[in-house]
Amino acid sequence: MHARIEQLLSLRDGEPLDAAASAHVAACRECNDALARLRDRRERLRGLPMVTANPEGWSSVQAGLAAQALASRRRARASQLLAVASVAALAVFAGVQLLGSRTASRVPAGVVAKSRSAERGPVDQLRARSRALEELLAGLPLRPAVERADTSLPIETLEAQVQWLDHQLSLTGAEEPVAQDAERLWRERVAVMSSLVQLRYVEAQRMVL
Amino acid sequence: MSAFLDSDLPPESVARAQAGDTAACEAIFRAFERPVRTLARRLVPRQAAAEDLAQDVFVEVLAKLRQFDARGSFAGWVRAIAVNRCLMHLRSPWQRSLRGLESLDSGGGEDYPPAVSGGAGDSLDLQRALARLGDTARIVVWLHDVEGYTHAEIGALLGGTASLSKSQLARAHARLRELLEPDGVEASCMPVSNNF
Repeated sequence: MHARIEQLLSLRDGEPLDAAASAHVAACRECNDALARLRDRRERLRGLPMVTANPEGWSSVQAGLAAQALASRRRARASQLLAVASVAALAVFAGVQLLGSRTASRVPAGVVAKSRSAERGPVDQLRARSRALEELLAGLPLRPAVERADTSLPIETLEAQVQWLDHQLSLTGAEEPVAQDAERLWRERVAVMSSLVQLRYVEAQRMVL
Repeated sequence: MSAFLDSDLPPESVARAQAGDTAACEAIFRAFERPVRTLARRLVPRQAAAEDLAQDVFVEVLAKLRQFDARGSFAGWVRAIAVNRCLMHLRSPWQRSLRGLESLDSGGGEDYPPAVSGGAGDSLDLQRALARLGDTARIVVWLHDVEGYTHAEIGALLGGTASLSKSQLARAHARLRELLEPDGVEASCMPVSNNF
C-alpha cells in the first residue's frame, strides 16, 4: 500500500509521520517519485516570476491616500454638523416649549375658560407656537448668497409647504371651518415650521464654520 | 521563500515614515511593491482586482503606519495586511457572484495567456493551474508552500483548524497534478490507500 498525499506532504515538510509510513516511502520507488514531484512543485511555485513594478504605482497610492484623507475630513465635518444640528434642534424645541407655556400663562383665567368653552384652545396654542417659530426664523441670519444643494432644496420645499398651509388656512377661515380641520392644519404648520427653523439654523451654522 | 523577507528596506525608513517623511513612505512602497503585487496576483486570479487590491494594501499600510509598534517584523506586518485584504476580497459575496458570472463567460475568470510548452511555458502553466484551484486551496498552497505560513496560522486565517489547512493542501496538490500532468494521474500511487 502506497503513501497518501497527506503523508507525503508531511514527509516533505518535515512534520512527524508514523514509522511504518516513513519506512514504506523510503523503500518504495513510486512513493519516492511522488515525494520528489511534490518537492519539485513547491520549488517551482517559489520560483514563479514576481509581478513587475507598476511605473505609476506610487502616484496611484498617493492619490488613494489623499482620497482617504479627504473622506476622513468629510466624515469629521459631517459629525460636527450633526452635533450642531442636534443642539440646534434641542434649542428650538426648548424655545418653542418655553414660548408656548408663556403664551398660555399670560392669558387670563377667564379668557382661557371662555376659549376652552369655544373649543379653540388647541388651535390657539398651535398659533402661538407657530408665531414663536416665525420669530425664531426672523432672528436667524439672512440666507447665504451661495446655497448648498443639501439644505437649499429642503428649505425651499418646506417654505412652499408653509405657503400652501397658509392658503388652506385662509380658505378654512372664510368658511368657518370645523375646529378639527383648523387644528390639523395648524399642527402641520407648526411641524413644518420646526423643520424649517432647524434647517435654517444648520445653514446659518455652516456660514459661521 | 517569501519575497517579503528579502526586502532591502533600510531599518530607519519605517521610523522616518512614521514621522511623516514622504520619501521614506515611498521607500516602503518601492521595497514592498513587487512582493505585495505578486501575493495579490497569486491569491486573486483576476488581474484588475489584484492590481486594485495591491494599491489598497499600500494605502492601508501607509495610513496605519503609526500603529506598527516595531516589536515585530515590518515585512511580516505588511504581508499580514496584504493577506487579510486578499482574503476579505475573496470572501466578499459580491466578488464571489462576479467571479461566478465571469467564469460562465470566459471559462475561468483568471487572466493568463494560453498554454505554451517548455521554458516560460512551464511557469505559465503553473500560474494558470494555480489560478484554477478553488479559492481556499489556492490560498493554502501559496501561503504554506511559498510564504511559509504554518498550518495552524492558515487554519486560523480561514476560521478553521490546522487540519483544514492540511486537507486543503493535499487537495490543492492533487488538483495541481491533475492540471499539470493529466497523463500521469492514472499511474499515481498517491490516493490509493488509507491503511497505514
